Amino acid sequence: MSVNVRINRAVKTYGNFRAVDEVSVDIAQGEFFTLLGPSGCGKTTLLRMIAGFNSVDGGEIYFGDRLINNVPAHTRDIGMVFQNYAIFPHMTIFDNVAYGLRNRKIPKDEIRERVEKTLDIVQISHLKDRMPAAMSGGQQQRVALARAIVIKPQILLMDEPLSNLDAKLRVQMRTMIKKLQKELGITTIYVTHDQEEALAVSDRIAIMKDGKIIQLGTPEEIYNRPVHQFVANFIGTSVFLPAEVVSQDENGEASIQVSGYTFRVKLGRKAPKKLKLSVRPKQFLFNDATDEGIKGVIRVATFLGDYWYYEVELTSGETVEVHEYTKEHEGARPVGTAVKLLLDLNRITIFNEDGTEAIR
Amino acid sequence: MKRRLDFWSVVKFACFALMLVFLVYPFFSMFAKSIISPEGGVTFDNFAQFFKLKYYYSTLKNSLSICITVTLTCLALGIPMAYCATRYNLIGKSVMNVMIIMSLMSPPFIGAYSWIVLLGRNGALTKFLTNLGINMPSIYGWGGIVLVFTIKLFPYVYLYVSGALGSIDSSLEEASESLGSGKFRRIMTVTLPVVMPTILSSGLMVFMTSLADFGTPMLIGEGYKVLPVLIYEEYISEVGTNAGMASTLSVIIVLCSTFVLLLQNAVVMKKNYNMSALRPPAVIKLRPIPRVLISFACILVAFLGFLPQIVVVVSSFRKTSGPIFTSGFSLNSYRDIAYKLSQNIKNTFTFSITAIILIVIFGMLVAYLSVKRRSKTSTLLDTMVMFPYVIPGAVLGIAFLSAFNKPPIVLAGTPIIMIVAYVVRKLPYTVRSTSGILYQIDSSIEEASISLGRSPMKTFFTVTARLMAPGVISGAILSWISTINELSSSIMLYSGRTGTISVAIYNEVARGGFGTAAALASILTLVTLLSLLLFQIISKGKVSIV
Repeated sequence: MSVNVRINRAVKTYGNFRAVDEVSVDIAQGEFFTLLGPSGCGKTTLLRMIAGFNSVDGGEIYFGDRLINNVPAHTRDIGMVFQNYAIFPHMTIFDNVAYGLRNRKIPKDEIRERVEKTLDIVQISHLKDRMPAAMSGGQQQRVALARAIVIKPQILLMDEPLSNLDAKLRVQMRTMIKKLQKELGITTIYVTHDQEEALAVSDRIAIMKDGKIIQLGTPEEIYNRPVHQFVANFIGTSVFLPAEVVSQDENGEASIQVSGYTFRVKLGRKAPKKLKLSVRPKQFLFNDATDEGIKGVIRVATFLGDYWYYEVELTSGETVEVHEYTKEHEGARPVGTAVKLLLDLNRITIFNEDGTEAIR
Repeated sequence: MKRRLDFWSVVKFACFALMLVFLVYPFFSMFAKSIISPEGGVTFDNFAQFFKLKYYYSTLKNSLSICITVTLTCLALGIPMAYCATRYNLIGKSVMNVMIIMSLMSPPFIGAYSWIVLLGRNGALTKFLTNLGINMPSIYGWGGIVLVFTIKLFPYVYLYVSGALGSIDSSLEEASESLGSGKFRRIMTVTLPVVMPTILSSGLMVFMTSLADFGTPMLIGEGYKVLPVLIYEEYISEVGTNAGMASTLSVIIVLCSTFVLLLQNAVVMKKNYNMSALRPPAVIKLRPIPRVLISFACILVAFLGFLPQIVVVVSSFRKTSGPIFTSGFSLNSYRDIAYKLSQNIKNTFTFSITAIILIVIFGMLVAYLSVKRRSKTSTLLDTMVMFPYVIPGAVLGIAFLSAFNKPPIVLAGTPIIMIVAYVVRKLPYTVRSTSGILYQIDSSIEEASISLGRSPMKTFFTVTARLMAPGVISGAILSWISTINELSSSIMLYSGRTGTISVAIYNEVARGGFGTAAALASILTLVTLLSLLLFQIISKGKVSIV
């Protein structure tokens, strides 16, 4: 039976260094939960604490109601998929997958049945008598996955399982993993540094940096409403433009100036004088009608099918990336054209000056 | 937070306890003996004497000169041969491997004796060459010792390095090649550095073995005296008069070699490469002419190592009259040993088999602790286990005698003291080769097993131990071969009823019974050959010897 996982102020220290620093999070039963962050952020360390391969130096980790801080890894009832697959090189594929079952005093017939069914699910039943050495990365990955889920663990842990695969296979595998996870309804904790992968598979994502969770939310929330400049920068592409509050009335309606362009936007609270705007390439709009907008000149224009990719050099000297859907504008805007850029005010994120807090 | 007492903590504790009783205690006793004067006070007179008298200190200089030279010559011979044997389709590779392993087993000082028989003053080859007008330089002294040691010890380098070369993932070299490195540069910048920990281990093995052996220098060194010879002579000649000098010399040799071991340990610790060699390097097909030339060169070297065995076996069938070989062949030598020395033969096998079982179990556990559970305590344990590696057998014998011939533990003269000495002394072979392969097993394999519900102990026996098998088996074979041939500790520890084959060989040679000695040595040779065959059958050819 799959369970929920509760992590309360978990700490992992190496000497004076806190690799995981008081992380708290509740993961619901059946949820696909992803720890996302750059290398060294503590995501794998946290996963290994949950697995039982790293000690918990502070705080608590619960599987359901069971405190597992000091429970040995082999009695935690987890399934784990490793970055390098960790297939037992001396066993056939069948034996690899049956490995966890043979330890559970399950009748032989049932083991055979379950292994074969699982191999079917991951579509490698034809390889069951092979040795791992002769298999491709994608096939080994399927074995690793089958081996982890065949034991019907309480929790499935995955440590960058797709990072050694090529791009096309990665997309295929992640689709399969997500489908499988939903069918089995198994609580899954997934570690990756690939933001696109995280967005694609997760119910919820925790963005980690320096051992702490910076933001926790659904992929949409994380993408559209980053609470920290780090998140806006890490997920997708964003440019950051310094801005200034010219005035703000008692309703919160503020007048903000950026690179000589002033716009009005309603803010929920009293804003500091200086701000930082986080703008994604699709949140810039070309203004062909009036003289209003951030002024700049097109330096690069590239056709990418659905949209045109432009690099626009602003008068302030910065270069920003702008995407414009091909259906919205006929033909290219040639290099050297002077343009005016408006902002998609409902979508851009407004941070305080150092980017540590989202004003809106 | 309280930690549960897990499997590996228990193992670690047990290993420590055993090491304290059978290693620390004996050496403490020996050390005490070297600094306690006959009157019972503490004195450093013995040490002062060593550094004052040329008779003593020149042996240290001689030993170091021999060991350094031999280590270099063995590396120069072993590494290229290992490379050729693992990477090229040489002709007669298996014959070559068998000869190389056989030459390793050449019983101590019988190798030297054979070379004297061939190249000594009245040697067969010397006479033959003199008749042709060629004058060979003298085999006796520094040059002879270096020659015999090199031929006998380069197999260590060859075996260890070919094992490592065979388990490098081929992608490493391909990566180097793809980065534009030519073959020579690839070997120098990728292949060699990656197998460097193994090269250092094998070099250390050669250094320590040549430092410890006293049979070879005693026979072929003549005036050129090395430290172990001096220790042995002091021990044999001293009866009560200067009880501390043998202990003092032992302490000095132990200090020297400990220094070298620590140096090597420090280097290997810093270079820990994780490799999962799922794709071992491919064997390159050479063109016919280079193939024949390289094969011939390698087989010639292997044959030189094997030559003493042939001399010994042939000698064992020659007719003897007292100490003199006469013309014609007979089985007299064998009749003699069946009549006089069957107990020694039985002892060799019962002691060695018991020892090897203990070595394999203990060696796997210790290697695992020191590689996979690296901590201050496991590093200490590893250092302790490796310590006998640097200790000449004679020194270990002296240490055991000074500890176990008095209460609380009296073992002197029993089979147990022989077996324990073998385990302590031969364990490092297995630990080293097992550690080597453990460095190449990624920890996630075990974690996968544990995450699937197998306890760390079960995981060790079903997964890790299985993956360690190639390293364990090659180490155990080296341990076994060297155990049945063990002389230097046996000669110190045996009593009337616990003598082994090698002890009998030594005594026979000392008495001038070279015929019976050759017959006994031939038995050891045959047993080694059979062990190798058995090993091939058991491993079904899946596990290579090296």
